[in-house]
Amino acid sequence: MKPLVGVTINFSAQTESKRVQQSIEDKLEKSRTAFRAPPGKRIAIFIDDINMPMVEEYGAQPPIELLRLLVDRNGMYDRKEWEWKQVLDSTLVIAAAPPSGSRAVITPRFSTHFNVICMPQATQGILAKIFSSILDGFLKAYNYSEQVLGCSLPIIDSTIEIYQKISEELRATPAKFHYAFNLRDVSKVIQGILMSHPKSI
Amino acid sequence: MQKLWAHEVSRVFMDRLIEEDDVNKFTAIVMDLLSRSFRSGAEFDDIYGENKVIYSDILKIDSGTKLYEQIVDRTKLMKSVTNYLEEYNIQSSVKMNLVFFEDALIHLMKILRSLRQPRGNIMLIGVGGSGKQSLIKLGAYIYNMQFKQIEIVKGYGIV
Repeated sequence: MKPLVGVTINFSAQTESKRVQQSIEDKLEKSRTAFRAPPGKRIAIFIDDINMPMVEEYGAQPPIELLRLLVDRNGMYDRKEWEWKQVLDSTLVIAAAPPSGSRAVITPRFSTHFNVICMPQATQGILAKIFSSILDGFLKAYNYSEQVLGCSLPIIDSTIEIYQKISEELRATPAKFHYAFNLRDVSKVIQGILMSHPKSI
Repeated sequence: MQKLWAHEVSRVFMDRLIEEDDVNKFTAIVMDLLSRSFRSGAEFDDIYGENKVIYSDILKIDSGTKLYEQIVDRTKLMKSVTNYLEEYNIQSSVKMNLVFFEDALIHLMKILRSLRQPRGNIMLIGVGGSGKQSLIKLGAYIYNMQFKQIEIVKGYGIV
């Protein structure tokens, strides 16, 4: 099996099908009849936020239609020579957040080509497990007192609870579009606590 | 430990809020959690009152351990910050003449916290002349960091 190289393309609301084709072609080598991966390699094209491109007048998303053609028929039209070209040695991997706001529902005509993996939001238990492992490891390594070790659970639980409450009660609005909280903020809190030292607690 | 936790969640979440209502909501949640999950008797004024809980290592930067501790004594903090400013003015060609009022001090502490963290990042929003540049410059100087400024001009682009 040839080694796999990954390339990432990010979609946004402004993504156009022409630009997408251009950036895919850039990663591949062009011959008279086909686009193919560099010799001895296969290429995995990862596309993030696949459902972001703007929905046009008739309800389609042109960048997605281009990709659908790519997986459906294994190729694209060369826009200069107006000829059909195969795309070889490449795999498409896509990712998207659930539809909401500018994220459209992915058409089944496209998703049918994929093996779909659903990644649900991490539950409270999973989050607690992740962050308490980090925090407990730190507290033990620096020999914090028993009393402080006992605080570990409340710290984790409260941080997660505050994160959940805040994201529910203080939603992003056009006037406060920066009210977007995510797990990075939870990890920042833990990171902040990791800056401490037994002497200062 | 409870105070440190309250400080950290406030830095991460509260500093982003722009309306007093939202801040009040947030502090209410923090106080509720403090008493419910930490079983702490801390009062609102202990955390967010006149003498707000602030953690920083500014007083112990030279000592090697860089102890991140609660700053209780505001006069000590004031003295330390003024010292750094004097040092900065001696070394730098452009002098800064700053008055450290309470908010400026607290903002400086917040900046230091972010600068101290690996991959820390911060965005200051304020009207012109409110001291964003000065505080960052001073903060970078305190941690002996190099200060780079990118000027955005019309027609600024990639390459």
